[in-house]
Amino acid sequence: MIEVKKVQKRFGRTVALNRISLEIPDGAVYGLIGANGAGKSTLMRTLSGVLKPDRGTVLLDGAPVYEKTAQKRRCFSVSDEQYCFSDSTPRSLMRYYAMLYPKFNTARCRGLLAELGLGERSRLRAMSKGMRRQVWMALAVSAGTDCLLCDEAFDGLDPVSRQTIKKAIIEEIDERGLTVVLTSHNLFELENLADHVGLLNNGALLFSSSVDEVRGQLRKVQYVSEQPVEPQVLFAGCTVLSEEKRGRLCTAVVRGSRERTEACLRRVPMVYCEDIPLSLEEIFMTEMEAKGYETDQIGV
Amino acid sequence: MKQTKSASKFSKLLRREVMRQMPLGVLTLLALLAVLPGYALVAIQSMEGAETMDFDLIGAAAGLLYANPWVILVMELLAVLSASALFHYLHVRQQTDFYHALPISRWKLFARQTLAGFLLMIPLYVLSLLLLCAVYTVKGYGNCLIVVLLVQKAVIELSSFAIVYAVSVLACVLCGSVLAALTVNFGLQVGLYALWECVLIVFRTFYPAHILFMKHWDMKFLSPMIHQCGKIGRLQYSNVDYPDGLTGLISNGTVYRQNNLMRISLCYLLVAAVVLLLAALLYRRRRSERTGQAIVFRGLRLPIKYAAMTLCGILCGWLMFAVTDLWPTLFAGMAAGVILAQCVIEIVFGMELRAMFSHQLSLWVYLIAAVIAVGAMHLDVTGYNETLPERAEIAAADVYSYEHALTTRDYAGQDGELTEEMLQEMEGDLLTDAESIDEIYAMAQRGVQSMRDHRESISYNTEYDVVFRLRDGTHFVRSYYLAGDQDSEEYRVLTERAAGIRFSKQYLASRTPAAMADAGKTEKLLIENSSQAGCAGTLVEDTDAIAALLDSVREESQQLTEDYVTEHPPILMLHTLPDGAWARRQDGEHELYTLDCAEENEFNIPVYACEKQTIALLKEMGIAVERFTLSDVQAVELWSYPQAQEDLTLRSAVTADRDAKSVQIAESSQFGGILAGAAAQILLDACDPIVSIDGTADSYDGMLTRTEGEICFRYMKNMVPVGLDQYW
Repeated sequence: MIEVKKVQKRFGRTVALNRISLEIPDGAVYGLIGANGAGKSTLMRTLSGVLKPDRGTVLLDGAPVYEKTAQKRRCFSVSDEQYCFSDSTPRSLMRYYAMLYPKFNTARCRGLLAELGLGERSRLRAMSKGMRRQVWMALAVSAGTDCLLCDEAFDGLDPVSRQTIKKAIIEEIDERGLTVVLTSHNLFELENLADHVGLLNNGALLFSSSVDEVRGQLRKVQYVSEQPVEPQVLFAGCTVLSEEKRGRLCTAVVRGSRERTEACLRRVPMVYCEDIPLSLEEIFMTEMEAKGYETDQIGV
Repeated sequence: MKQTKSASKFSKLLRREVMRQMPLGVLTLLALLAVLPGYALVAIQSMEGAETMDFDLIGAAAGLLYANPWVILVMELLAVLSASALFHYLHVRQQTDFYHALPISRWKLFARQTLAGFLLMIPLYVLSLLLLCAVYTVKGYGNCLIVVLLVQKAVIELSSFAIVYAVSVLACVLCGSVLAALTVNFGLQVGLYALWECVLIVFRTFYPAHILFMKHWDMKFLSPMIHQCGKIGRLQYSNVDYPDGLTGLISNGTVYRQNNLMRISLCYLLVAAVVLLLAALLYRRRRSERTGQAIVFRGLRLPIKYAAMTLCGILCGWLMFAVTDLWPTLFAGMAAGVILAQCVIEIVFGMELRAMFSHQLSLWVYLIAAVIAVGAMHLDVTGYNETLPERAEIAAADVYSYEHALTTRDYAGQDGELTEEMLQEMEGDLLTDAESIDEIYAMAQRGVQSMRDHRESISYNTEYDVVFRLRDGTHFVRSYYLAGDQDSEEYRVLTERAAGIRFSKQYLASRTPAAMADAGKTEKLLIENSSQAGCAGTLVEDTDAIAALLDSVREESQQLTEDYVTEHPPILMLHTLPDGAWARRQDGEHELYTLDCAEENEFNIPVYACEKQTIALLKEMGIAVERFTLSDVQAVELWSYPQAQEDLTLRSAVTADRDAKSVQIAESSQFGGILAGAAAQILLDACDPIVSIDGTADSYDGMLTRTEGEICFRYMKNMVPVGLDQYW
């Protein structure tokens, strides 16, 4: 488990991280989102042990990460602008990381590179940004570490390679319970991958929860009742977070347990009634509005 | 097992890093090959092409091998380059994040990078040194290759690399950008020493009365770059105790030991280790997010800035003062330098032009403090320059000057500055009689007055140092300056005072050559007159005779007065020669009348006509007591200076020479009349090594020719023969 306990980080007068606390369980895929300058990269650098928190601690299974080689060996970090040696090739990097990470799976990495259509001996300097990102993600997935920290993991990747990398990550999660922390300023990239999400804004963690937990509490229902009934009336006892009407078709986002909302729906004869899956974006918009934030200010 | 694995992984990473830095290795190799075997090959070929003796060639080749400052310089530059290349990642955010995210502790990361620098230098240096030895062997100078010296040479040169490398690494750790790192590195390598010298400049400017014994204030070791290069370079001019100079020292295997180079180099190695340890500790504490900022450790910003402002302020002020000699321009220059440094440093820190106006509070604080400090020194609030003890407190005194007319001591061979060794030597022999102390006190008072009136510009004038031992045992030592030049009334007054000391009872009894000569340390006594000076004369070797003569002249010289000595030339000169001096003189390795080569107990003692007892003794020994041996004189050339005749005090040789006329006289019967009242210039100059008592006339002088060569002579003012003009 990755634990972040009241971490604070300042850069001069700027508070980059403001007493952030969160927990990331083993095997989770944690999507960290936020606008530019929200503090995502700073938190990732703190998690990877590059930055020392001014206050608070970052723990990996109860042990601090900063300047602890054993803990850092359990993490592989890919930053948003990853540096490489001037003469690097995927092959030389494989050898380099194999020295540092005892469980580095060279065969797995080779397979991924072949799948991505990248040559082992090609110089990284000669590759495009997206190709370099592919190489780094292949290396990261093959490192055999317990957790993977990727800042802007899919930045510059084409849809096909993005899917390849996602599939590889999921395989690693399934096989050995890899814990993944990804950052993005784009919710769509994290769709269908992240099972935990957190939203950073101006250094503060506005929201952090598992997607299932949220989905368990939120429900988007579309219905047409025989007799017109307002959502506020229909779902009395629950909290209607948003509603939309198009003629007799009503769409409402409701907070409440599944049993309760089912009971509310059974009370009124329905011509049509359907559950609509909530996207991550809708979940966030709903939650932020509930917390009183104007979503256009968050800029996700 | 775990440790073995860890060590193995570390060595693999180290090897990888060294391989990665191959371009640096190639550059290092090329530079070392050029400056070691390459330079030697070219230089030897060039030397062999010139027409020199074999001995000189071998000596020159040996000097080239063991005293080549270019090697030190190149290795120091390579040290800066290596550190900058290996720790460049600390100045680029992406690279810092990359390295610090790796599962390597910062200690190991630092150790890896540091060791890589040494591994890129040491093997390549050894290879280049071996090639250098091969060049010498092939060229036939294999006997220059002395194993012990080669090892010492390697230690010295590698220690120079090590210390500069260590400081460069520290600079890289302290800074977050390349420009700042190079600037701070330069400051650490050279700036500390420069700052110290600047502080001394200020001190000397405002406290000219203070005597700085440079032995304690020489801080060149603060800059290994300058220190090592300078020491090795100066080896070329070694002539310490060895007639063959550098070659002798090399043959003897002591070339480096003589100049403390080995000890200094080992100290530098130790300091390098300490600096690297400090750098490692700081590296561990270094915040990765500060990469990109000029100075990573905020607490260092102000000290660095203030040091730069001090250095720049003093340099600018001093430059302005050197041009104008005016203290207002000194202060204006200081202020301008401080503000300039503030702007430049803030631009470097902030990495933008607009930053030059930031942090003005620190500038104002500095300026106020500087105004107070400089103002206090300018006003001499402590009164250091003008303080004198009470006359009654003084138990003993002395005065020293490089200007012979103002000194009471001779320190032959000194460069004019009073040293601590000289002071210790003086301590046992200070003048204690009241009249001498009064004269010296009066000289000090005039010095204080001069300090009050002309402190701004006096340091360019003639200097004299006054030493007082007070009744409580403490010492009061000050340096004063002549208010005018040597034609001034001030100079005349001071020389009169010095002369007053010179002819005091205590001085005559203890300080004159006659008083100080020790018969027990005199192997031979050479007696010469004016026509024998420097070439012939009578050598007395009998110890009893020597003792008798020296005792007699010592006793009789205590009756001499300034008036007498000014008006009468010496008849003879007794030259006391310690053991071996005469033999060395015969071999052409020793001059009799050159003070720089004077040995212990070697004195020139004039014998005057009034010293009758001594003259009688000399006659008893069969030594002719005459100013000139006329039978040795073959010709006389007489010079007349008409302008000098109009004004007998005229000293200008240029003016005198313009209208001078000469005549040759070969008639031996005339020699006696021409030379009456004259004495050899060399003997007159050697009359007293302390006070120049010049009673000679400016109207006439001449040169006589003898078998052994020519010798100049001069007339005493009151003894110019009448009718010399008839010879033209």
